[in-house]
Amino acid sequence: MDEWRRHLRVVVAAWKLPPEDHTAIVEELEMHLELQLTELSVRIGPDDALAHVLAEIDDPALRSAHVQPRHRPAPSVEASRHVRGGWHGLVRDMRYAWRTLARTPGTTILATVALALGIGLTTVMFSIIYGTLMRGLPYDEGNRIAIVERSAAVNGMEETMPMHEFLTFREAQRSFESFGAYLPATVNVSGDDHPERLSATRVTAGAMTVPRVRPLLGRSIQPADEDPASELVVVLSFALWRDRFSADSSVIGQSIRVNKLPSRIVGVMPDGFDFPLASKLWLPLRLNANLPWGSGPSINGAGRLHAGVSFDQANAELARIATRIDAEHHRTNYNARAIAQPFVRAVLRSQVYTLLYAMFAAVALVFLVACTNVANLLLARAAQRSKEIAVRRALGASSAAIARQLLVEAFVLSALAAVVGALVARGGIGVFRTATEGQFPFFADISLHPQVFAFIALAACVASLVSGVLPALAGARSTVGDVLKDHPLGSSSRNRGLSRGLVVFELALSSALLIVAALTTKSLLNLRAIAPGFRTQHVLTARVTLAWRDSVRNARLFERLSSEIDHLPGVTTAALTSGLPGTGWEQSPALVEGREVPQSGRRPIVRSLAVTPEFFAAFDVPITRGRAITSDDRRGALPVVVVNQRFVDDNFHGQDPIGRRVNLSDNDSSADWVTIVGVFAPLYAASMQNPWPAEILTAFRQETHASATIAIYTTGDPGLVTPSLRTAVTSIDRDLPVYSVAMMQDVLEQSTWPARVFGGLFAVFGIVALILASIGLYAVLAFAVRQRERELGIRMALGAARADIMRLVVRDGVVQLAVGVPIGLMLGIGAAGVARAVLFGVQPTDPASIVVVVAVLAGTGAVACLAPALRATRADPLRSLRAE
Amino acid sequence: MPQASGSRIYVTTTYVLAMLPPDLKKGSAEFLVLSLLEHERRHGYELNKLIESRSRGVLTFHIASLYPLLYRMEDRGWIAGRWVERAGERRRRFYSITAAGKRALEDLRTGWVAFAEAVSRVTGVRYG
Repeated sequence: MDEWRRHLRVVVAAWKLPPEDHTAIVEELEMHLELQLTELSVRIGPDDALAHVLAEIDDPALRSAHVQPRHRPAPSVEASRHVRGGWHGLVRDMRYAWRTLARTPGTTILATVALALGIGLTTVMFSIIYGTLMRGLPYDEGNRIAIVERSAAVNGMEETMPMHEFLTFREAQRSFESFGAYLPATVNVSGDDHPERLSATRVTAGAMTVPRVRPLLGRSIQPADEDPASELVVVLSFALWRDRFSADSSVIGQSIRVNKLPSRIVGVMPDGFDFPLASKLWLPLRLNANLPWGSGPSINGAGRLHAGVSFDQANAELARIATRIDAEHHRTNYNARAIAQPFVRAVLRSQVYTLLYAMFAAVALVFLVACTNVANLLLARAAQRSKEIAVRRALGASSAAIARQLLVEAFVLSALAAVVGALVARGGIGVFRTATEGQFPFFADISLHPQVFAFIALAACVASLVSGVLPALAGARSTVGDVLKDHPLGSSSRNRGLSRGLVVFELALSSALLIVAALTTKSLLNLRAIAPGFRTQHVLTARVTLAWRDSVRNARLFERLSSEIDHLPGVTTAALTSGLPGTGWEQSPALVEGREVPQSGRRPIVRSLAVTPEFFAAFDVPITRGRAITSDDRRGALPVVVVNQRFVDDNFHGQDPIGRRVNLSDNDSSADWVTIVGVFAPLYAASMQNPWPAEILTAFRQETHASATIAIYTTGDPGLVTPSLRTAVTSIDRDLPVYSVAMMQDVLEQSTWPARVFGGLFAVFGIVALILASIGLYAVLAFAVRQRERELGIRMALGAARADIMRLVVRDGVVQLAVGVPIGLMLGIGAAGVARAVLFGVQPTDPASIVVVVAVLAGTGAVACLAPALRATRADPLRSLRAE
Repeated sequence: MPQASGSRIYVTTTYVLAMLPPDLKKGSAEFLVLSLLEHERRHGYELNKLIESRSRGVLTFHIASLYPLLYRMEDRGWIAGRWVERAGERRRRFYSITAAGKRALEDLRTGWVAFAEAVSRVTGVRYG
């Protein structure tokens, strides 16, 4: 360095200014003196010129000059333009941000992908919640539509309401502008050669006016239709009108047969109308008030609140009426209350709310991990750019301007990610809709509503704030002096602490998600691996329901049906059952003779199926003791039952169950005694909570049934049997439809869809979080190594072995893992407790899952640590020192 | 050596300001800087050269007086400094006049005219 320059520094140092002022002033004076030196050298020669300059510096006035530290925040031109520049400043910042991002495409793409995944997944979950829980009914002022049910005295569970109670409520209430009752039903519809089993709703006229939807053709159900003496009428859904009647508008007035009774078509509802349930047709619900109190059907109520009446007010009124009913009918300790709830809330029980919000919480964690990741990447880059930031500060940019610039960068990145995220969301919503086809209630509409786009915009803003604030604050705090005196990377040591903290946070969140993902994945595997104990391949299932009330006639019909099907080509065995193993069980009380009724009065409940003898061959269910149900077990013979091993274990404790009697009623009625004749191996009950319950099989032919499930075991493709099955059934009764035709394996899969879909989603969240956390860990460690290259170089120059350097670097990562992972595991186990509904055969504290998660994180962490560590050992001490 | 010659003040370039009364010198230095920045931004060396050349060598500044003066004016908000980089050159700090600086310049100008007129009326010395 020239002597005069050194001299100048010493003199200016006497002014005792902050380092950044000192540096800037020295630079400015040097510039001045250089120009002076150049000019004077020409005029008076270099030596004299130098003497002149030295004299200037030596001027005592210079040393004693009184120079104040610069004003801070400096209201310099650039800074003030940055802060007050408004739109122009912002546009310039954005352009600058874009250029900066384009300069480091790797980081930019990584950050965009991370954020896009976070935003995309969160949006998928939001659109599910918005489409089902938040959007409400697609009807005029749908938020005033209520379901009115009875709240059970014992456990507060909602239940249907006895007819007379409903009629009294309807008469007395003033809170609802329309109020009606409905009952779900399935009916056989015929009238031409094409009988069908269809979902229908029986409604009072009041219930049909609740949604305020006018019929497309004709009229809706009217009060006169409720009169038992009136002509039977039916209102068609749009889909039925289109598919069965080819959208023929002359259909009004025509007659069809509903459960064999001629009914006149009076109206067609518009497309998409499904109230209060998804239905193909609506029939009048006939409530006969003249029946004695307590008889008549139990029904559900639906109503529309008057404008300005709250649900609380309506419930208060219903409670007053209920008290009056109790008084009038001299009931005590009855306590049944009608409660009105918003429609969606009532239809989707609280478990659905809990599950969906738990999912949202999980996905919000993924989002947070993504934001943290981006914050880390931006922080690392801000540190790399600390020189540039220092220059901008020296040029007069204020802290606010620097912070704003960094925030704008995060914003541009988030905007980019929002666009990609919207595409991710679109794909995700498509996959979700396919996976849950037909599973959500009619009003659920999971798609990219405008509100979903608003959510994406909001998510992008949150992302830019969450990921931008820390780098912005770090950037704003850094000063020119930091950069010059500290290190080539200036304030980065402070940033390093910050980004370490972020990684710990990220690791904790990821481990939480991973443990949930591991548990749900294990549940899925358990579900898949389950051996159900019965045949699922090559079994075709279907259902028929007879419209006759005559049990003898029904039994005869089923006999004919059974033998007809048995003789169909391709059929090996055909069984009739009351339901399907796996999914179609009924519940029955079952008290073994000689055992006392528990003090609670609640008899043990078992799952029961009524089966024909062919059941055992069709489903390949082995009998382990005694005998199966045979063709001799028919009406008039000794009522028999075969039970499963679980039932034996629960009730007989090593004794022989064969020949013992069981009562299947609630009251020891003599008609319900059955004798155990055999024991079968357990059959999977397709229940996540209780997959292997106590089960019993009764003899179908010893009971009265109006419906039967047909199970056909075929040698070839079961699908090929369907047409001949339909023909066989129609040949017996041309009004008898075959419905619910499905393959057994599909039926079983169907029963596990919540576990598959939501478990699958959790698994996706966990994997995405793992990827993001690994990127984060790698980025931070790699960055830390780059910063410490000089230090590591010196250590190596001083004789540190490669292994020492490796250990030094890896230790950093290990510490972060050791802090973050346990916190996350605890969080995750807590979360898994909440999401128990989607767990199968695995506890939240499942040691294997915890081990797997820790191993995966440790493995990922090791890779993330080792790459930078290897890089560190290759650091060339000379190069890093020269760089200084 | 400084010499008086008629109505002209002759000074060697180095010591001219030392000869002026302190208040006058101080006031006039700021006046000079503000005047030169009135229409154009300039860096320190340029300011010094302009003062020197336009005063035909009569007025000149040392860095010891010029820069502390500039920083004081900057602190006062009369001028604003900004680093400017041009391709192939080292960056320089340019100063420009602020709104407050323009108001101060107006005041100084009015005061100076009044002062000069008063001095000439008393001393009979005329500029020109």
